Amino acid sequence: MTRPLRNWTLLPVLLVLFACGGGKPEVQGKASGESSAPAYGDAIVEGSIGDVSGFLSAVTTDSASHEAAGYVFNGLVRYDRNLKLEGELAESWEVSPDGKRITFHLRKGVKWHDGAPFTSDDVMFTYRRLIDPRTPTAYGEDFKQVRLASAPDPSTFVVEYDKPFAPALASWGMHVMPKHLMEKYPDISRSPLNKKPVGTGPYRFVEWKTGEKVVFEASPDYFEGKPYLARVITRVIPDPATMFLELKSGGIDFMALTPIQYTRQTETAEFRKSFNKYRYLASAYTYFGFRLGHPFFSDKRVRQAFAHAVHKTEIIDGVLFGLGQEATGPYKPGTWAYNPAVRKYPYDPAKAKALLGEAGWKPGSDGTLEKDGKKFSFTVLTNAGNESRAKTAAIIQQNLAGVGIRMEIRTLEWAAFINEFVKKRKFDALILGWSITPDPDQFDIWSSTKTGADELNHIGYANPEVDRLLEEGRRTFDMEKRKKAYFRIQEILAEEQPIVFLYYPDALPVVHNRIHGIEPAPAGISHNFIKWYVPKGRQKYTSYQP
Amino acid sequence: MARYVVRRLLLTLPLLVGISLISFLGIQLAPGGPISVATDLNPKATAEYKERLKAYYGLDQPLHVQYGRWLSRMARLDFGQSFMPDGRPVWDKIRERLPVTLGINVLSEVLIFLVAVPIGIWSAVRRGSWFDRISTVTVFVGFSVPSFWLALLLMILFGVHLGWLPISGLVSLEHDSLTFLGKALDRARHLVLPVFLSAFTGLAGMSRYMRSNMLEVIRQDYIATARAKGLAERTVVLRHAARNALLPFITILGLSLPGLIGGSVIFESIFAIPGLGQLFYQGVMSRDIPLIMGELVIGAFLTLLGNLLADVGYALADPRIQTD
Repeated sequence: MTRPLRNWTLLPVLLVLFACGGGKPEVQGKASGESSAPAYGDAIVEGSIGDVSGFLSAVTTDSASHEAAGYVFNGLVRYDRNLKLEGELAESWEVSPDGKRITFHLRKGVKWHDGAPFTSDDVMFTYRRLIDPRTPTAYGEDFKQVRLASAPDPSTFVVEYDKPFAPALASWGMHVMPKHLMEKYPDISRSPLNKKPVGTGPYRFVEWKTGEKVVFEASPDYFEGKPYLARVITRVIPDPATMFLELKSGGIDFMALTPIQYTRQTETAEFRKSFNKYRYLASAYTYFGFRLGHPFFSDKRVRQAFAHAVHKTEIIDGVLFGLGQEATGPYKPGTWAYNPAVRKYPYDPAKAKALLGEAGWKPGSDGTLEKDGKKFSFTVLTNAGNESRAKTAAIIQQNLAGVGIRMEIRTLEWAAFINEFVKKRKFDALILGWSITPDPDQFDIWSSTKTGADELNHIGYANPEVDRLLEEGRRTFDMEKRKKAYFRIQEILAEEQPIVFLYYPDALPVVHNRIHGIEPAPAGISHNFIKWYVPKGRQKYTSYQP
Repeated sequence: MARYVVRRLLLTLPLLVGISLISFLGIQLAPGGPISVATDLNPKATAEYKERLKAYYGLDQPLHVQYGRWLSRMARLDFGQSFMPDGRPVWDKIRERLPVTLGINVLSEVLIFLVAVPIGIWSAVRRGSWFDRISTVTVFVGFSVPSFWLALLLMILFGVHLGWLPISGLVSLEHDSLTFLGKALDRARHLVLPVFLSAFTGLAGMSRYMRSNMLEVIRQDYIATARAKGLAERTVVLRHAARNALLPFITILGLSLPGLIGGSVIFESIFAIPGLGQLFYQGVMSRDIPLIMGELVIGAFLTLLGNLLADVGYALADPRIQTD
């Protein structure tokens, strides 16, 4: 599966394979009537825009690499079909009453693909390498919070923190690396395993042909049972149009569709005969952000007026062909942290005008709003190459013109945009997106302590109550307490509109319908990948012996 | 002759240094350093990690030190290690992809040559004829049509509707299990569309060049003389006119040498061919400076080499050129 590039990513996408999305899944296409008993064998060919850059996810940051690594490696924990944490290499875990110590009980009898046993030593090794200054990893921070790690016996691993840190539990979804094969490489990115991985996961590495394909085969002794599909082949096809043609001609079995492909190019009877399309909310949202220090936008009423003036349903229909949902906050509908009962802003230009009037903005001679002799005119920035954001900007431009606000649109190359404008706070407003992590801790985005040049609260949001609640939410493992904190944060954000939440796009994967066993869930479709199968009579790549 | 070659060689040295300096500085001017791809807007990337990453790649050194180091390594044909997490030597990455790009480009150059020369000759000899007009329109269609669009149309026709040819890639998934003959056939089938497309879109330049050279030559007195001698028209055209009209081709062939490496970005992306163009594109997108520099320098080197070969070739072929 592919993901749009240039999403502002709130990592980790470590569990990509198991954390594709959520919401109300919808399936199109029909199951075939033939015998469909699960059978071993056949292969699934995936299309990927980008090539893998390495298999050790600790030292890679791109989604293609993380997805590939997900076949070969396991973490201690992972997100299940409902985006709840469950044990993977850890059979179970306990959090001490004060929330500072986590004890993982590891699965027994798990073997690395080379036959060596998996033990707590491997977990310890992984932890040590992640905090080692020689390791060029972007994920060390969560592990540096650990005060003390110990491995009292081969199947127990204990970590202690100075303060309870709820997001830390999810950080143990980091792929565990084999100590016996990597010990002699102080810099793990130079280890041969980054190119030829040996893991504990459902698939074993077969080959990687740079720029061409990556091949995995089912691991016969995988601890959750041998996967049905004998091979997974990821083909690198950099051009999305080519990839779609490859899908139609049978060259690949699995890819992500664009909204226009989903609605206009796959509705033929012939396409339905061979493919199943799926649709569920992606874990991401697109927003219209203000620089809150800007004199126009420091007034809450102006921002609320924007929320009323922007026609979100028009954006969803026009840009996403209806394949998305209005966003109300930074969490995904259907997940435990999502608060459905927050203030909503239906499209209402009259109300927007009234709010702007309250804030002192009155129509001038040419119809443009004015205040203290200044016209309400500003520029919105977004990144070039993202068609849906450019279209969204155009619709908002029209909407705002309707209430007397002049907005210019400027698109910029990604790196220049981030480094020259966003980091230097040289913007009035911007259109961007965040991905939504399963753990609701969004300290980095909303905390008033995170407004530095390199930090992510670039809109300059500061609210003492939100700061306190963010801290509260990450310092307890008590789900009810966390939920309360995050519900309140959403109420405040909805009221204050530091950004206008625009939409959650849909994820639109398509899979060849000879592949059975797909069960859409809040986590997407890939959560039960090892149970996907092709019935005996429909197997296509028969040379791959199960 | 030897002195001429040596002099030309010596002249290329300062050029090479100049090119390397400009490309080095140009890349440094681009916004966002090489590590920004991995660290921008990534909440897990702390300031310490960024510093560590910079030191790791030697980016904490002043620019002139970086340039000096890089230049001295380059002189030893060491282009450094890729910034991608695979951290492989740039030269290895280039080398493994070189045959693919080179092969396709040589094939299409040969095809262009074989088709463009006769077209050029024939349209010059029969200037204004139907053949001349049709071939002119055709080669210009090839020249002006966006190659990615034509590629998609051909893929839809031959790949999806007719199912005759594979759409993308170099070999099929079952390639390894095929017999030798099967393998060759498999490869050939994958090459049909990319080679055809690259030849078709490149035809215009060559054939027009040939045509105008030919028109130039045909007007010369010695052609009139040849005809006056009573030689057959065929001999006049092929032996006397075409041979002379082909001379400037040496220059064109020399100049197409760097294109063998760099000219394939769009192609290789559309057809998912793991060649140098694709590698370069990836390098640019992930700000893999050593890789970009490596490809640029090789490209520059080939341009200079092409120029040199063209000059030398010309000197050899055309006795009117002074070499001393």
